[in-house]
Amino acid sequence: MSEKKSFWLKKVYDALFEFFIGDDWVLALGAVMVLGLTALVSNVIVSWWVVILGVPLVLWYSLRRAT
Amino acid sequence: MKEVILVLASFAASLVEMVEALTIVLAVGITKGWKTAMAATATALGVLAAIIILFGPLISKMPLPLLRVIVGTLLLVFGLQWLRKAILRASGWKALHDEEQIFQDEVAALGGIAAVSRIDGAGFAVAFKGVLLEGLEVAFIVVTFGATQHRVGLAALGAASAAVLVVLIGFVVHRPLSKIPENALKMVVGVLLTSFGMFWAAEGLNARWPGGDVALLGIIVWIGLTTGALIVLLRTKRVAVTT
Repeated sequence: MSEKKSFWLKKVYDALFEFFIGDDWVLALGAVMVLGLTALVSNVIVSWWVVILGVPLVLWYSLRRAT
Repeated sequence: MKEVILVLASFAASLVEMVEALTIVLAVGITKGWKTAMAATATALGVLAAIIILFGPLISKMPLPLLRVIVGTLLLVFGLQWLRKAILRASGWKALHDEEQIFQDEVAALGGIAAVSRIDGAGFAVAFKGVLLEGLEVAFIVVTFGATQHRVGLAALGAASAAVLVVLIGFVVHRPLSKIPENALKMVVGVLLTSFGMFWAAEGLNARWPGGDVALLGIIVWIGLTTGALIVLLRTKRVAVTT
């Protein structure tokens, strides 16, 4: 791959990362994990509380890392 | 009720992003001429329109449960980003967004005030990038938010109202809009995006909310209270660290 092409690919990757993931990738990963857990348990138990408790917990953890 | 929240969220999100875009366009207009600033803004808006026309109908054609999971997840991740930044700013851990300072920085970076009559390449690139990047966030919110409720038009109405308001004020004052309570707006939008994201993603994943659609109001209140509590917690932590 030419140097120019890889430069632009990196630029696009960085822009997409910044747009969707932002400053803290742990926050995005945590949110996806909470939803994954919700999907896992939703056919077994009442699962809305997983999202209700999980999302604030992930946000708190991300803020704790930043401060 | 959901329709009102939809319009309000689109309006507030657009207001915040368009104030940021206006700051950059004003800096380019004053330093490199209004021809450059206007040409770049028009080009960026054209690209944004193309993106919305291309992806809007595509998203609307998805099966509803899949759409809710994808859009809900994206809105949740996006909303949490906004909320995180707004909480850090409100609690003093991150500097507040200062449009006046950004304006001065952009003017300095563009080489001071020396307006030219032809289109300036560097100025065009700065204004185009500014409008496109800020506008992409608005387009994303309008398309995803609107598509999930099959109300893209309503979401676009909220965004368009904000655009008209910002352009009118910018036209009149010709200065960066530093008086807009940007962080408070960002926080409200963060709460709404996060709440809608949680609601839709969980519903798409087969979680049944107690009370159906009414649960959305409860989620908004819950995330709002959590945000308030986190701000208090981080302010206290900051005081303890600095003393």
